[in-house]
Amino acid sequence: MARYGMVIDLDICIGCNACTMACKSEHATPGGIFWGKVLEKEVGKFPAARRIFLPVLCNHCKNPICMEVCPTGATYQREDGIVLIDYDLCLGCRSCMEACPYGPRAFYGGDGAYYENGRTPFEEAKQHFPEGIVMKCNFCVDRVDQGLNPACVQTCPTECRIFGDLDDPQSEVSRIAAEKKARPLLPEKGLEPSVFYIGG
Amino acid sequence: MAARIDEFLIDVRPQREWGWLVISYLFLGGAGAGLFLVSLYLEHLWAGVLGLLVLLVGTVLLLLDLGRPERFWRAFFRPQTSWISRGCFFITLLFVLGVIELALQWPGLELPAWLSEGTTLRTSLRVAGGGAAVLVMIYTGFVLAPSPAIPFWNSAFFPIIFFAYSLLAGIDILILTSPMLPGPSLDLMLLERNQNYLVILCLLLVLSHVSVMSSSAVAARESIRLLTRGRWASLFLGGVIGAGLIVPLLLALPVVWEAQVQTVFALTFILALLRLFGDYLFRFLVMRVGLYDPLL
Amino acid sequence: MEAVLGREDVWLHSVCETCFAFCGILAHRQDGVVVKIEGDPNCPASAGHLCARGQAALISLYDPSRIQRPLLRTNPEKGIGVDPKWREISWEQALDLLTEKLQKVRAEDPRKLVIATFDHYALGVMIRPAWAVAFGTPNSDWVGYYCGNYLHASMYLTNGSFHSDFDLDYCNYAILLGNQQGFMGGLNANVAARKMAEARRRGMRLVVVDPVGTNAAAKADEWVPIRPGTDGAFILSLIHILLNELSCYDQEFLKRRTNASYLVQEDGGYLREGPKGKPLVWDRRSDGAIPFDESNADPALEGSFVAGGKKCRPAFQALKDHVKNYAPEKVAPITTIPAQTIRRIAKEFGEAAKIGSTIVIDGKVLPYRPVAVNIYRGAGAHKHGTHTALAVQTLNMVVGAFYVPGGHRGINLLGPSGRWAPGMTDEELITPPAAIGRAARYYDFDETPPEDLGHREVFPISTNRSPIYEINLVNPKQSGLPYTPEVLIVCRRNLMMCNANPEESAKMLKQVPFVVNFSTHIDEVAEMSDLVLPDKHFLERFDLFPNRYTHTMSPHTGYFYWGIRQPVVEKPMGEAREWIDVLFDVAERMGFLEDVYKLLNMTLELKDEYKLDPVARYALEDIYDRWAKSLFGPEKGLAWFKNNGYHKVPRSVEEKYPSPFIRPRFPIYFENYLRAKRSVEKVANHLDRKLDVSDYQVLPEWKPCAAYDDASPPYDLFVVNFKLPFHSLSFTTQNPWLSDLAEHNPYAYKILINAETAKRKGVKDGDAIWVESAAGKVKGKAKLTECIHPEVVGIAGVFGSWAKGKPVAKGKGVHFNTLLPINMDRIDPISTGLDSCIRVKVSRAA
Ligand SMILES: Nc1nc2c(c(=O)[nH]1)N[C@H]1C(S)=C(S)[C@@H](COP(=O)(O)OP(=O)(O)OC[C@H]3O[C@@H](n4cnc5c(=O)[nH]c(N)nc54)[C@H](O)[C@@H]3O)O[C@H]1N2
Ligand SMILES: Nc1nc2c(c(=O)[nH]1)N[C@H]1C(S)=C(S)[C@@H](COP(=O)(O)OP(=O)(O)OC[C@H]3O[C@@H](n4cnc5c(=O)[nH]c(N)nc54)[C@H](O)[C@@H]3O)O[C@H]1N2
Ligand code: SF4
Ligand code: SF4
Ligand code: SF4
Ligand code: SF4
Ligand code: SF4
Ligand SMILES: [Mo]
Repeated sequence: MARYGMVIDLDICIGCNACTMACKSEHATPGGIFWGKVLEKEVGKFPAARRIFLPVLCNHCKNPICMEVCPTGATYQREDGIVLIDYDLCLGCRSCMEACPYGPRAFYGGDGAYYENGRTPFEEAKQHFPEGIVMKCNFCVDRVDQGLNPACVQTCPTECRIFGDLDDPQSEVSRIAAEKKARPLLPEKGLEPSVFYIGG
Repeated sequence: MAARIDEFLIDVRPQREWGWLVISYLFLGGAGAGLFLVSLYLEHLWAGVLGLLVLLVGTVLLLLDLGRPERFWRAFFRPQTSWISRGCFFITLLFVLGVIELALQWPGLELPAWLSEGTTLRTSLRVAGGGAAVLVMIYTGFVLAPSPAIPFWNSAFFPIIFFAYSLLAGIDILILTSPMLPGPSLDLMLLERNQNYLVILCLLLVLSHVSVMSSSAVAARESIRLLTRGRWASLFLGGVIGAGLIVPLLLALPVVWEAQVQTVFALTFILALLRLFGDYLFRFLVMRVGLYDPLL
Repeated sequence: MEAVLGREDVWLHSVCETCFAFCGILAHRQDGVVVKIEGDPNCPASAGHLCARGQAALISLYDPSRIQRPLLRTNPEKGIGVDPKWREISWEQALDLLTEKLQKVRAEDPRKLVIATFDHYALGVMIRPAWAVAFGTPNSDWVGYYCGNYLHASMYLTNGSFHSDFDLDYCNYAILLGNQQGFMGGLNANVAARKMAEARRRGMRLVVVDPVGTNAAAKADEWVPIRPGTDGAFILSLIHILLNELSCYDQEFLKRRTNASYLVQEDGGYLREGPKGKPLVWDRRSDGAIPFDESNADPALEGSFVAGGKKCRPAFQALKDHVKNYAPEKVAPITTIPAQTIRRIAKEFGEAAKIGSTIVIDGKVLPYRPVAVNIYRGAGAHKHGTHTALAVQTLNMVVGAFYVPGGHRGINLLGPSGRWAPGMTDEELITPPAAIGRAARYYDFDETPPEDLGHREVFPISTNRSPIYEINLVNPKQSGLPYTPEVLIVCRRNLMMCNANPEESAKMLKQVPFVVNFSTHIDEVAEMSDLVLPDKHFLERFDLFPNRYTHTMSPHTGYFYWGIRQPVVEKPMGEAREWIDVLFDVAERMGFLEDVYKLLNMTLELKDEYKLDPVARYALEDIYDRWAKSLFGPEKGLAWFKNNGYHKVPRSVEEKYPSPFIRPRFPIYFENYLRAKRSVEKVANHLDRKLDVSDYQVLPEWKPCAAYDDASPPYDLFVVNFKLPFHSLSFTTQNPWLSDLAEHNPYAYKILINAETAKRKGVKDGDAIWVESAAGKVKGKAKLTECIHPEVVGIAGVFGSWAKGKPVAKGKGVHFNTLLPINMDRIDPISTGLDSCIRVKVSRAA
């Protein structure tokens, strides 16, 4: 069985947020909610100062604590490691949000439309989230099931995001992860993320 | 210092998922269960009733906090892993056992012999009820404690602190309501003395937690900074520690030594209010200073 | 998901128009609704990737604030914030009105019509060369300003190309001087970002010289914060070090490929063989002056000589002497860059140039100069900016990194496949290929009185003269023109937000009796217009080959490529119409459509069998079909492009690296400026104007901007503006996804101020502050940062919209341009670019 994962090259990422917008477009996420985004911070003092970009998304952890704490089973993990939320089961208790150190999850209170003066045909066609639930990056599971890359990977202009099967040592993602000593965020939390970073 | 919550910054990030509804539940749920526990010990029917009522109010608030309250029943489906799920069972258990217990205590009720006071069944029921109350008092600590996400919460102290605080609050509610409570009158002196031990216990636990956290992960240190020097310092030091614990402890001295009924009565009343205020504030601050570690 | 029977599910080829990179897209349409846009993997520019703006363009297609029907102003009073009291009218009424107004103007004097657009396609293909010419107005090139003006002039002059770029396939050391090429800003943003990433993976060293720690600076190996408006001094200092300290320059290139060896006299002019003869060089073999093009000459680059009794020296020697004024010790206090940093960068740059080395590509041996300095808007957008840009070109040229692998190059000097080549002067100096156009003429000048609002004859080196349009429109009486503009057509130009201070722009728009705005929104310009017509969104539009290979097609792709923009929805929103179509309709009503067709036959170079019959009538698509077939044969008409997306032709080595293959030389010495100066003075005299012509100098110089005179307290800081990778000008500000992103971004909607500076001023992070210049003031939230020069505050993008018709954009972010004054003192006298170097003071808002 595959275990899907991603490697992101922080040296190459330019913080352009194409990934952020591709995700929004792919999933028609509601206003103010971003499943994937790019965080940043400054390091150093002028003139030796620098900005750092960190694209983040759900890590699809091997030990997803979000699933562990979920009281309903709404959060579940597929055999290929993708962690998903069943909106029909979700209570909106947000304990998964409290438990996950990475902050990919968002509570959706309703009214996701982007324009005050009406829902667009695009939103009518694509934005069907029940209110009062929690949502997050789903690794573009529908695309992945069709053999496509996730939307953020597909669009990334610098090609600094690589997606693939971590269980297959021959896959590009595994090779790069091994070669470049890829590391996850906050490994000490013990959740074993499937999203890794190199460079930076 | 912590980032504006909605800015895409790599920084210590405050949790804002749980707000006053959850805070109030933590307070009321714990206090209600604590009061129920004490009622068993005191064999005070009305104290027990009150305890369950307080718990009920807390639980309603918790339900209101859900995005989909009408689906609450789904929360019973993952007791294998989820403390929230377990909590649901504990609360339910406490309600069921509590109502049975109180029903059995109902004055003038003719009970069959196998159900009368002193039988193993009654005792077991009572012990089970007490156990459920204890679980309700501490499980919220377990909801917070195992989370690696929020280092300030990630501590074995929390179940114990919550237990101590819940008991403290339960008794304080009893003290406050005692004049209006039907049933046998209560020995306020005795309660007040016990409260002092509990206060000392809370103080020790809270201070130990703070000291352990001061040398912990980035976000935990920031939590401590917020509590001791930062934005929340006056509420924590002045409110939780000062007004909620130390002041009652000092003011309690005359109560413990002198024992003039009127003074005792007036004072315990004030002390209970102060301690309850401290307890609520404590739960509020615990939630407010719940911070996530920066991702890099 | 199960596909429901009969459900529509198609992917359509089209082209993004959220910036001028024109990336190929595939639009996914289900049941009539576009549900996703992706990069077209077959498009050489996008290669399947889209930037944030391209991704987000989808939602703007469905913006409910879009104008649905023509609107007529009923309130005669115009002004910022004044309600136009719109009345909806039918297209028929609108066309009647428009025709009536245009008819009157055309009968009186067609020059009274002015067109302002930055719709590249319409501007370059349909309107300026055809419709406007047929109408009879020269006032049709009012495009974006303080854009690349400074740069385009320097490019045309030194290498005949329009846009600046550099070869990321081979470059090993690049300096970005005030631009974000390769970081989803700048030109050909998408392909440049991809290539920049590859180059950085390869280990290319990147130095970003910018007052702001931009996204580019964030990823640079070295960020060099510089005081705004001082880049010229920095670059000239690098040249000085290379020439006078390190003796590091490409002699071969300078001798053979430039005019470096041409002898110049003390008055600056060439030493010629006779009064109108060829420029001479000093032949070291014969130790005498001979014509530059004598074969077997061994021209000297250095020294001073006497020839024909006249003292002279090679142009290169003149440059060498000239840059001695720019010792790093002298330049350091001007730029705030330490002298040792300037020296080190010069040394690194010189070494990385690998002068003398060659590389074999496709079997051809080429010079290999893997270094480049790139300049675009930021460093150039200042008074004297053309000088700075020329200094940059000169620096690239002295090391030979010009149109060779690894070096600087422009867009498409040659091509495609021999279809065009640069022109050449008598002195063998390069001029733009005819295909690229001759927006400016650099070697022979018209000295007739100007006819157009841009005063072309007064600014012959400039490629577009937008600020001059503005100045002349505000004061038509003083323009010296024999007419007063009466109708202004605006399409895809935000004259209110992107120009200087909006109060000034408002004055200008109030002057014009009838303003027509084709727009998608009642934006800031529409609010000032008399007639607003709903234009199509680019996803509703049909444009054949929107990517103009002369101007915007990146050589990085390795191809020439032709794609189409086609509507990806069945019908446009409301009654939106394509403005080209509307103007063609008007032309028909007015009876000059025949002339438009005749012109198109010429400008599109239609083959005989596809020529438009002037008396026939064609839908735009028919015209496009003919054009496509004329170019690529009968089988490659529109239908082919609709189905296949792209026609691609690989670039030959010559088309990628033309320098070794072309005859014309690249000037490093601008002798023609002496002539330009005389002409300009003469024309100014016609107009009874006093003009500052001191910038017409034979060699680039650094001169302080006007802002340096405003240094007196309290105007103690500079303000600069920079682009964000996820917004385009004011164009994207009404996009709610991008706006949402900007609101979460730590910088986008803020005022950036150095943390130390802020501390000194008692400003804390998040405080509301005022930034005030002599021209205006703006308020915003302070963002304390280490990533900005301490003397500088930074404001991103073109934010701070005020139009009610853009509810998403309204009131968000800070409007930089409010701070910019406009007058002849604040305009680059050569390119006419507006000076964005401006002093401000910062105070806390109560
Ligand atoms: N994402 C994005 N890409 C775009 C556009 C867009 O709006 N958004 N617009 C397109 C257009 S129209 C153009 S013209 C190009 C422009 O492309 P660029 O020239 O790359 O555009 P800017 O980001 O404006 O670059 C200006 C930079 O110069 C800096 N700067 C300002 N003043 C000075 C100075 O005096 N000296 C130096 N050294 N630096 C200075 C600014 O901080 C900023 O980082 O981009 C095109 N591409
Ligand atoms: N502060 C600041 N000012 C700048 C710059 C900057 O970076 N910062 N850059 C400068 C540069 S480089 C340039 S090139 C100029 C550009 O100046 P402009 O070309 O004026 O720039 P835009 O902001 O793109 O204006 C486009 C206008 O078209 C409207 N519009 C949007 N979509 C459509 C459509 O589909 N059809 C029609 N008809 N209209 C539409 C928008 O509402 C907007 O008003 O600005 C210059 N000014
Ligand atoms: S699209 Fe790629 S380069 Fe751009 S921010 Fe996302 S990960 Fe970074
Ligand atoms: S990152 Fe968080 S939400 Fe995603 S799988 Fe891991 S624990 Fe769950
Ligand atoms: S919010 Fe939904 S997914 Fe998260 S823990 Fe609660 S029920 Fe599970
Ligand atoms: S994998 Fe898909 S859902 Fe996750 S961040 Fe990327 S685009 Fe969004
Ligand atoms: S670079 Fe320009 S053309 Fe390409 S996707 Fe982005 S906005 Fe569109
Ligand atoms: Mo521009």
